Amino acid sequence: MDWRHPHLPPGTATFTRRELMALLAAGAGAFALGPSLLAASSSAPTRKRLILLWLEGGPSQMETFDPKPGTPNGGPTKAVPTDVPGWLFSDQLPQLAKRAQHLAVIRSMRTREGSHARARELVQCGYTPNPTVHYPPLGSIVAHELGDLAHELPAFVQINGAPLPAGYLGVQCSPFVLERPEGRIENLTYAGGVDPQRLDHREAMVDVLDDAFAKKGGAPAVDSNVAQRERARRLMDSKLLAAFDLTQEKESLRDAYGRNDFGQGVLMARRLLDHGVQAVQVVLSGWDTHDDNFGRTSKLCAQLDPAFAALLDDLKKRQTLKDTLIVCMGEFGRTPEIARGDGRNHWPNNWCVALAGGGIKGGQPWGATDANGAEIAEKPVAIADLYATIAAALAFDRDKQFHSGMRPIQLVDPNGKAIQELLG
Amino acid sequence: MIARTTAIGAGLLWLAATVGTVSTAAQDDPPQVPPQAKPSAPSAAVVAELIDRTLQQQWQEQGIRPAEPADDATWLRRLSLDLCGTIPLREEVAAFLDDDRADKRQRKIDEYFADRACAQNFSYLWSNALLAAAQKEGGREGAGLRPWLEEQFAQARPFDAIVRELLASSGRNDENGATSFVLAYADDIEALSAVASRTFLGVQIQCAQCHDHPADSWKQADFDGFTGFFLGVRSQKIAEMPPSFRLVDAPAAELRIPALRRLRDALRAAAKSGDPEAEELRRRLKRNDLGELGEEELAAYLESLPGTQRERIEKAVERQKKFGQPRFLDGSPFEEGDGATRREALADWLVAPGNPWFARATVNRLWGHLFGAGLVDPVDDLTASQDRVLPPLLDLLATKFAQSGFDLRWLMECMVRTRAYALSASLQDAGDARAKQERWYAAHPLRPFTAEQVLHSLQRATALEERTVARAKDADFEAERRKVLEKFRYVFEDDEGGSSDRFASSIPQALFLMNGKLTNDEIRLKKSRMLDEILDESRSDRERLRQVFLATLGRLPTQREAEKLGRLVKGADGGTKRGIEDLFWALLNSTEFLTNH
Repeated sequence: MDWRHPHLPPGTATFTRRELMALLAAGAGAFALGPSLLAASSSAPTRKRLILLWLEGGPSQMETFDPKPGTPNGGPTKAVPTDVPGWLFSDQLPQLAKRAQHLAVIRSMRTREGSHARARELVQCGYTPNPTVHYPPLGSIVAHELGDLAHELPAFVQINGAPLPAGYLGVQCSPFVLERPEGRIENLTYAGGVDPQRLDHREAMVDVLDDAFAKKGGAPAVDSNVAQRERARRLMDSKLLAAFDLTQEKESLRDAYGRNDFGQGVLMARRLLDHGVQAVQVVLSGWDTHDDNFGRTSKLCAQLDPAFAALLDDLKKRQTLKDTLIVCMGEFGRTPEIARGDGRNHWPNNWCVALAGGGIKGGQPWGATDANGAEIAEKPVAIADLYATIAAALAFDRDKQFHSGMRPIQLVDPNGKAIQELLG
Repeated sequence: MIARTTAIGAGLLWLAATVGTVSTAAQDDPPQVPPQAKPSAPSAAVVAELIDRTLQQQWQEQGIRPAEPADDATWLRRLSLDLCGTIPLREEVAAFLDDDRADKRQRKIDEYFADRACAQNFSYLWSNALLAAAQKEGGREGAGLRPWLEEQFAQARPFDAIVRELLASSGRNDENGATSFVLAYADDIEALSAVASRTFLGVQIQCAQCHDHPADSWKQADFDGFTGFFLGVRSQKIAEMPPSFRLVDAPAAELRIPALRRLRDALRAAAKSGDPEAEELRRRLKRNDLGELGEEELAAYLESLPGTQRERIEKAVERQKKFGQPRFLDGSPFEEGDGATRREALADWLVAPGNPWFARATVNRLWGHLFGAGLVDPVDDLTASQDRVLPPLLDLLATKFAQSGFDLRWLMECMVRTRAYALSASLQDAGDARAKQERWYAAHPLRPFTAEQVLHSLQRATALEERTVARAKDADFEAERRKVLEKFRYVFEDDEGGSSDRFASSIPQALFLMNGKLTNDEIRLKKSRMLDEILDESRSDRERLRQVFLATLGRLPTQREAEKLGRLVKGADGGTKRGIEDLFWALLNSTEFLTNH
């Protein structure tokens, strides 16, 4: 049985399945290349992009966005005024303090998951972990809803840290992982002894095999594999891989972001968005400060503060801040009381999320804790509310329904209510 | 898919007649009864025939034309992947194709069931399902589960005994690997409850964890009651290296007191520092009369505690209220006492012959494993799924499985002996007609390899020892293997177990196969054991081509493939030898190689 597309002229059976698919796809526009891709970086994108700065381990709210100086719980951390009158940040974030006009900080996040793994899933995916549904993380949702899955570059990239897979949205939306911003990207370069010509030759052989298998009933599987091999090959040969090349940035700018994996990762995130990636997650680990909380957070803040600040300046200068939502958060906060060994333990009861950029009205704190930072004094915010707010800021349809097995699931927990005051 | 409840009358009548004959015959001539069939269950051959007749009747009624029978090579590769988790050896394929004995397929089935690889394969199947909801694939606590399962399957232990141990075992994980399952979830009993009910019973009560589900009859109380059997489970670390743990249950008395140890501790501490209210509460708590201790009183006291402490106690009290009263899923009551732990009581109820779900869930999962889709699909959603075919067949197989003494080999033999299992793939293009053919098992479905199948098949095709891939000493071998597989899983597996969008392959997957070490280094001459072996022993290019096909696709090339590929091999830059490398690479990157078809 010959595989023939009904609309193709007779005689096309001499083409390989790969050639025919490429032809059809080009007609449909799905694989359209050409100038539009590179032009995308200069014309303003209409769909918003996401940068998630993930503070792995659970950052201390007291040492970042909710300082309580002079109280028994506050420890040695001081507060500094920001450029928004009456609003204070911890003195560990001096550069961000000067850019608070761009930030909306929720200081009254309240969750119920106190173990790292469960809390990571909850906060990155917006749903309480459920053993039978694997919820997609925020970056995968953005890739699926706003990204171009046929683009040469992957729609969602994660830099540093362990990834969560895209769950029911499918592997195409799982993060493409870069273990270090300056490391080699795994399997992206031609294997030793193989050049493009030899790979072409090899693929011609695969075509013979795939065509034979398609005729034996394997067509649905062949079509999917062929499409992915095409995309993998286009990525290998892509000019857009320059997005991963940090040496193309000015030394002074690289210095501003900070010469460490996180700072350079944030810079790369900006480059990736410029080249058509829709969502990037950059991970800064080490926030699980059960001991020496003050010493350790100050070192971590010394990476977070310049990178986040440089990103705001950079995006503003490039006039893309309004199209880019920046979210900065971790699994939970840390206990207000200082534990043995100057540590702080896990604390989901009140913690902070910082939002900036596209769709967000900056310059305002939201919610507050009491004088000792032990309790939420006003406006508690649930994860579902945070996700509703993010969905509104990014402008995607949060109610879209999917199915995991038999069961309907919405992209974002329908119980959430967006915080209108933070949207702008 | 519409639920089909059509009676399988003809098949049943036939079965009744045949089983009668078999049991009479068995008395006269015992060797006719296969050794693994228990006296009370019909032989696998009889059940296989019943399945075939039942399916054929459906095809006729619905006007479905079945696919052609699969050829020997296709059938062998499928059987090897399904039972042993990897492609067959090339020598094995060659011998099988040359074998002209009439019973060669049955011999192969027997051979595979006796193979250690088969036990290993099913240890992956079950441990992946059981650890699916655990963090880090079960972590160090769950590491012993897969090897323990492999040992049980190798010994052909009855499945009810295996499951009973998984649920009820206590003690050290280094002495009894069965404890690994519960240990892996010791700090998350909701996940444990969900995964146990889903895997062993095929019921998804965990959806009721958040809300009562409209499409299913399970209520939150069912979930809480089931979870109650695991309340009190604790993991005690015994040693850091090698990591060992002890699984214990809190004493029943402690579980009954809703205020828990933590509240008692808090009250003791407060009373010591001279808090009279705490002292009074503590005295009443000691008398176990918390009923008398009003909620308001308790709440007022908790309010006065520092935040962290209060939070912990509130959580514990809340959990106690929620999970304090275990209840079986069929509503039968649970009585504490008579020496058995809660988990033992649960295990006894779960594997009891009267349990309507246990046998059906097991039959359905293995049917799904062998035929690509469960009679009820997804395989672990027996009560809510609307996608079900031939419910009477599932019921009947479940009854017979119980009668066989929960003999897994017997059950799977019933399935792989069918003519339906031996059909080829559908020749229809993707669409409704193909879907219908596949749903009614009138054509064999295409299935992408699981992570384990990719790893083990690549190893076999390249003649690479698993030891080399994992590069580790014996002691760390299991841990290393888990690491390698974890990576493979991220690249190759969809979370939904391949059930949603089957062929959603990804770019990292394609890149891995195109440019990765396994598919490049291991196909290079003087480096690849397989290719060197083939070049050593084969005299002609034609023979070499045949051998690389056998090693990878488990079949011989067709005339057309031999011609076209032969030309491409000869035309390679750098000569035929480089051409053979290229062909080997192409075979490993072909869709057929990565598909169980």
